[in-house]
Amino acid sequence: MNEEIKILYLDDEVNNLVAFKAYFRLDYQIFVAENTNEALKILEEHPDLRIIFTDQRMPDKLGTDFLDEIRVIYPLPVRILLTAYTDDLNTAIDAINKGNVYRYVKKPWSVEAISAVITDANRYYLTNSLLSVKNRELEQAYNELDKFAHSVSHDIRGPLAGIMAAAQLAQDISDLSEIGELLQIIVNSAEKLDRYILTIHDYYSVRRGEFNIMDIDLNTLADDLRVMYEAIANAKGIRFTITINNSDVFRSDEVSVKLVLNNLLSNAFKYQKKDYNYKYVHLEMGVERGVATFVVKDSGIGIPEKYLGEIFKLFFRATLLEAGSGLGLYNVKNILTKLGGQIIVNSVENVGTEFVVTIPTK
Amino acid sequence: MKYPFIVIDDSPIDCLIVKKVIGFSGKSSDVKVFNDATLALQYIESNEESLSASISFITLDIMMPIMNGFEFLDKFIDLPKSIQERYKIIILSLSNNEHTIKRLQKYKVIEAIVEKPITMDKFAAVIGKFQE
Repeated sequence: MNEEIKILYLDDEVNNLVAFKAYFRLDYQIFVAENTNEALKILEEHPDLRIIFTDQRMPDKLGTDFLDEIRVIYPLPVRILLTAYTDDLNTAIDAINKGNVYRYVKKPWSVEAISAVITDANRYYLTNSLLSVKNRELEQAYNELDKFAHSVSHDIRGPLAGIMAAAQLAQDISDLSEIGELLQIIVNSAEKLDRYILTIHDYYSVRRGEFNIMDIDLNTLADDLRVMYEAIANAKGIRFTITINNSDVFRSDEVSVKLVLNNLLSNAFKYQKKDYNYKYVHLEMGVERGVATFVVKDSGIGIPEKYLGEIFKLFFRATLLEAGSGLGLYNVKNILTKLGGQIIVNSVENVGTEFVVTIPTK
Repeated sequence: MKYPFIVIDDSPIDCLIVKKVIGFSGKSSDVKVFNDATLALQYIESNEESLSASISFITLDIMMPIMNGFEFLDKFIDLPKSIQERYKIIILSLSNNEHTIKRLQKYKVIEAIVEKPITMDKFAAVIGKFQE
């Protein structure tokens, strides 16, 4: 039975309802209603109904009137009219032309006629719903493009403006130590710009990327990460530890997993409390029953509760510390969605933050 | 004539630049830097500045997280007139797009809009105009 194809049949004659259900319940999910109220209840419970068959002559309402009404609230289901009376023909044609009805079927209906209509109607439904999905994707794409245009203006021109301003100032003054400071500003701005461009590159590769699934050994991963963060951990007086729980087989795209971990870890190192003596970043990894779990915990500034739902949004920044671009966590969320994984965040302001990532093995 | 300055910008690099420009101009008696616009507002509300000078300048960045330039301006115009009158607001904006400019023109409290990057010349022009 194709459970995805849900069909509603509305008719005041119960025998017809019984027959319809009997013939088609093995192939599709069939719902029957004796009157328009019952039909409305079913529509409300199953907004993914694909096809509605309705009788024309019913005591409480005409079929065409019913379809005319529901068309506004439930525009997606394909509407089919059934009638035995030739008098109804004009009404039926009218309704078809108005777009309220897709097809009309003569009563008494045959199984073959109904089956043919179901096939056509289902195809029509799929075409339309695909269109609305594509529309939504397009809207989202435009939305992101807007945000990008905004971000480029601010986050690329910003550092550039800093470089230009510092350079021009340096030309106008002769004090060497001041010039030295200005040169440092130029270096910092250039580095900031470079980091931002790299994050955009990540965003792009996540969107476009194809995955390269391979065995990932957690121990090797841990060694790589230790080497990577050793210098910064020492420089900033942050204790960095990694623990590995059972290490079952884990297959995934290594580049993506590293991107996720690097984003979370660099955030953990970045947003530490300034004058704290027990700064730490802890990474816990493990694979159990086909699911890899990564926990990144820090003793940092934390995230205010009101922002916990927003931090994964594009270009959102919860803090003034301008180290962030607002792209990192968005990239992380994107990658995890593509990999079928999840991420949850727990945080207490001024105490610390914990990100828990789960990725199923491929 | 020297004036106190309040710099409001989320980017420490930009703050540093503005501070330098203000310093080199020789027109400032004091510079206070705020990365957080909400803290700047609190300081202005406390009216401490009135003890030392009659007019103060504010340089205000537009694009800042948490509270941006527009949000600051909306809160600023709610302050008592006696406090508002003491301040001349210079907008430092990265973008010169019409939409932003139009939006800014609605705020009468703005003395001037300067496009980043700020240079000694641009700065001198604004102060010069004010002093006329």
